[in-house]
Amino acid sequence: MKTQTAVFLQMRIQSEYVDLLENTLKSAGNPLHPDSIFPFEKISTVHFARWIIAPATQKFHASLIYSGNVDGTEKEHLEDLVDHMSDGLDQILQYCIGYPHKEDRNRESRLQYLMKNLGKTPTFYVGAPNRSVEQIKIEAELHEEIQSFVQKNSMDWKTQKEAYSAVQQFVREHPKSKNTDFGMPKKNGFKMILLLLLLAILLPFILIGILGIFLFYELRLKPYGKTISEVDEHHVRAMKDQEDFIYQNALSQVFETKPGLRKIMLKFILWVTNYAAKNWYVEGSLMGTPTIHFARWVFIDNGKRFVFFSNFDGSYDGYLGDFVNNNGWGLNAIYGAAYGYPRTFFMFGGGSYNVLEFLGWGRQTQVSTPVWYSAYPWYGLPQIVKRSLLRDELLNNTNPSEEEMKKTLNRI
Amino acid sequence: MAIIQNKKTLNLQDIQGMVTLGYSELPYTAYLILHISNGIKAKKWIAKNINLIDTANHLEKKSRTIHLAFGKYGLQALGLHSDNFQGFPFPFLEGISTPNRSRILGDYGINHSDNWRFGAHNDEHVLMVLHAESAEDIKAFINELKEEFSGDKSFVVNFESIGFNQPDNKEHFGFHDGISQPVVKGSGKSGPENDIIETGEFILGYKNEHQQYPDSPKIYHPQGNMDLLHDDPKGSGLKDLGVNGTFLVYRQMEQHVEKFWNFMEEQTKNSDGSINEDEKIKLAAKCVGRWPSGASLVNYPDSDPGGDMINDDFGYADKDPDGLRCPFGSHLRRNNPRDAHRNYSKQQSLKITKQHRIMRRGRIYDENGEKGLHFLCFNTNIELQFEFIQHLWSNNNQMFELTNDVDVLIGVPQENNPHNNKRKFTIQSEPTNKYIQTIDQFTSIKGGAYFFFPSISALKYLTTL
Repeated sequence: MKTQTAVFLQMRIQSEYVDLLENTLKSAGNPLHPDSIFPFEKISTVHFARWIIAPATQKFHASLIYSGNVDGTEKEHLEDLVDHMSDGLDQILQYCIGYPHKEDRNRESRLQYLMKNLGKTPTFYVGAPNRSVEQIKIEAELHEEIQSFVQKNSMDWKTQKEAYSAVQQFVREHPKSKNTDFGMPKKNGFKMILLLLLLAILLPFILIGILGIFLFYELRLKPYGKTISEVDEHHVRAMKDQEDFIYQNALSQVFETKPGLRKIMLKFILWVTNYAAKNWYVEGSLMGTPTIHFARWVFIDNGKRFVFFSNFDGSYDGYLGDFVNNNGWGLNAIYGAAYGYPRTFFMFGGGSYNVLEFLGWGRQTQVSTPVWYSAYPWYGLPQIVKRSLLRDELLNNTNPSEEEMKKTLNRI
Repeated sequence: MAIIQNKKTLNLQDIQGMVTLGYSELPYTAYLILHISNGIKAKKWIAKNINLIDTANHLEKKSRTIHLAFGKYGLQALGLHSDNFQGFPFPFLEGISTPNRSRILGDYGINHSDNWRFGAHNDEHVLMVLHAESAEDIKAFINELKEEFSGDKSFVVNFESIGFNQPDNKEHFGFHDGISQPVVKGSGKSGPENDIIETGEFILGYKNEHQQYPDSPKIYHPQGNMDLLHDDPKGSGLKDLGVNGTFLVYRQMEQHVEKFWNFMEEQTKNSDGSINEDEKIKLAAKCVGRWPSGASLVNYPDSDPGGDMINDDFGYADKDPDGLRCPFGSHLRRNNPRDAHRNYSKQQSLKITKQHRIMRRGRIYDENGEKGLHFLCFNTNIELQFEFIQHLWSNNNQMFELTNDVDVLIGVPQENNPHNNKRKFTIQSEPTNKYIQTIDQFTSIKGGAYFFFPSISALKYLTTL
């Protein structure tokens, strides 16, 4: 069983080099770029990775940010980066403050620099927890072979039991099933009850917080934001030009945090989200949205800004629309703390439910993802989960009921 | 699900007829793409003929109708000020054949806009749709207009094609088409409860399924007779050019009929090599999601009851949760998942599918040996309706947790996917699914464009610019 880790680096860019760095990143590779200076495919433990720039504003310096979703530890991954793409690192990190001079660069000094700039990821969601890149790829191959096996032999099976036994035998004997160091994650009801108890105890404070947010933040906001048709057309086009090349897409957003009570509530909500992600949303769906491979919220610039990164299936519109339909209130609780978000109502209402404004705000806060890598660009998350369940059930369910057999066979 | 009454609350007199009417009594249609050669003369022509533009208030039977839609450059040619384009949604401003739209719509390969008859440069001025009772009359209608245009030098006809409805409403593959249609709330038409959709999904100026007003073009730079226009219902104080109008998507789609039926035949031959007619039709029906008569596979899983079945009053969640009757990957189930989307409850599924409906007004054509469909649809948000359906439902090779299937009729997988040569159609079956290898496209796109479909009052306004 492999645990997935969120690696996060933030490095301040020397202000005179921001444009140069931007240009270097632009030519450094997307999922279909054959000659990237970041050959992530050489590191077998990387699920997804990206380099982005958090842009400078009047209040903030520009930062270079790296985000990797990997099997193994942070340190192992940084070593891999230094070992496999030191050239690429040098090409972009030379523009960042504190990177060793040319003559001082070696494995150790590069590693030290990266270690120094590691940041914590307080809220991390994994769509298919416990599955390594290797596991995901093997299960995809196995699934394809099971389908071929069924296609060839289904004529011979008269009953469900016959079919199930044949498929089960095929999978059990298949060499790709040998690596079974893998357990399907389970929801932890006990821990969720603890969370609910905690929320119940804190309820008076939460209610006071919501009231405070209404009085001191929401009342002061103008009712209308910009809808998707009113945000900068060139920016939207630039974002779209990076999208829909593979089955998945990347979303990178940078927000400025409202201070005071909103920030305190944001930290609390993100803590709750992280806790629920670890203990409850472990079966492939985050509050009803089944298309997210990895997502994270991270504070940068001492908490004055925060970012959201996600790797998801399908389109921007579909993804954000799913979120609004399934848990628009959750979006409001988090993003209400970001400047420019459509006006919320008592923290959970309004906001994203103004869908066209929400889609517009989403584009406005989105930044380019010039370097983005996916280890399995054509697999949707529901597929990954389905294939794991199929393998797990065929290998481990020793005495399935008729209903269970049907469910398993339907996954093929 | 009951058929319910739907009160008439809209000012139908201000809405162009095609939004709510199918014109079955006028089976012949002409599609003319016009170039405005002289804006002043074009406005004059429209002003003079404004009474011929049919409205949704269908009080008397007409033997001929005209409808008008405009592209960005058409509005420009009429004199709409550049500031007044800023409220138009991006898909309309950019047009259909931009690289990022071609990517999501599947317009590459044989669908590539390089091969289109119109729309490749996103610069169409006007789409004029004519209806008439007979083939002769539609031709006469076109000729009269052409003569008029060559006389007054207002428009030039860049493209023309004639479409029609067969008496049994079948499209060229042989299936009863156009059954599943949303019903516009407030139009006065009754319909199945789940098909009655908020007005704002199809007509600008009203709330949509999100209970929001769709984005609608406004007059930022005062010009023309603004008294003709409605106020922005959102209360911005601006005049709203969109109210009672909508957006029109037009795609000309060739249907490869012989290829389609050859494929069905090949896949279902008996073991001795002879043709199995019943199985052939059944496989095609599984791909479509209906029998040729129009009967739903959910209600008639085994064979076609025949006749003219226009019943659309069904769901999937109760009768067919596993896709054993109507496959998950069928054209019908993909493009309108009704009450069974993902693993959502019926209520949540309906909520989502209702946000992604389109009003289809397609008609078939048969010209110079080519058969196909003039696909037209109305929606207020092209990105969340037409494009969403084509991209995330028809073209999505992993919808409903399918492994690598796209819509057999109109789906095109992502261009770069290395697994495209292993595409298939999955028929959910017991005890195990059946897979039919299919990598052929049975339709291909011959043209496409996005248009603004103004209200009658906005049309009058445009003539005052």
